[in-house]
Amino acid sequence: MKKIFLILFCIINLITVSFATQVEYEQYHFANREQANLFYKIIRDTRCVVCQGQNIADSNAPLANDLRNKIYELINANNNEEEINLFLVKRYGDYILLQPPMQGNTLILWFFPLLIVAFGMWLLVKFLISR
Amino acid sequence: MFNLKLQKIFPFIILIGFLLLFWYELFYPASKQKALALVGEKVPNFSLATLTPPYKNFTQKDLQGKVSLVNIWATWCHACNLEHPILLNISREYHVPIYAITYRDKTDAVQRWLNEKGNPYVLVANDATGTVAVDFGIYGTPETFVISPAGKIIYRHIGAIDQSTWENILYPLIKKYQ
Repeated sequence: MKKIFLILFCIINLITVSFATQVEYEQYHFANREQANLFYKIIRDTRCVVCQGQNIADSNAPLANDLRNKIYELINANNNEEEINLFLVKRYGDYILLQPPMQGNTLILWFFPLLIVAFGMWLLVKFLISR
Repeated sequence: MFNLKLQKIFPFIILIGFLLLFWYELFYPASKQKALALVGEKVPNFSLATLTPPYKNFTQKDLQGKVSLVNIWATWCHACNLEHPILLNISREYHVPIYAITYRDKTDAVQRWLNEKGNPYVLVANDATGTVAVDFGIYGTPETFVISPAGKIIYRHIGAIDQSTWENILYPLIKKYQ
């Protein structure tokens, strides 16, 4: 019985939290489904620059709201994804993109995990050979 | 013997290297990028109605012809309150024109603030929707942009200006353009 109550308590809490963090998008109206899809894709891929590891789709921060409004405005003005990303990067740097582009200053981000894996494999092989 | 010692120390050297790299990647490039974004670019086009005389539309054209500061702030921002005496001093002692854009604020709150604390600004306009603030790429309030006579952003300062920032960074830069 105690377990059932505990599970119910957890579920209720989860539901409350998910409702609390849900951001409303009813104010945005698009001419077609492609524009709507583009809007949701861009806001999911754009970092909330005043939050910790959150995109602007999930953030209630006023600046995240302003950025969503700006992206909506740019989509309605028929800008494509590249143009909108360019607008954002020009003002906030590559940092605003949750998936930074592969270029000179971001190479370390892309290849560092591979280097770590390679180093780990090398250590493992060395260890196995020594045994 | 030496090899054995090296084998023991080696993983710690690697670990310290990783930690230093993480620290650098986490803090340094982001803050450098923040301060560099939009520097060298023209001031974005905007048009906002002023809250204090002269009543007009404040646009990017008002910033041309002299070096000036654009200060983005809000009455609900604690750091802006700390910065305000420095701005008053800049305006009175150094005669550098400061233009204000208030971010997501209320007209009466801005007017009350300026009446109580003094008005260092040439023009004050309110960006009630945050649209212009995003065009300037702000992270929060206060933020200050140094604008060249040609209407280009030559420096941006994120956060409150203190006496040291003014004397060592902003004023030497402004003097070059005066």
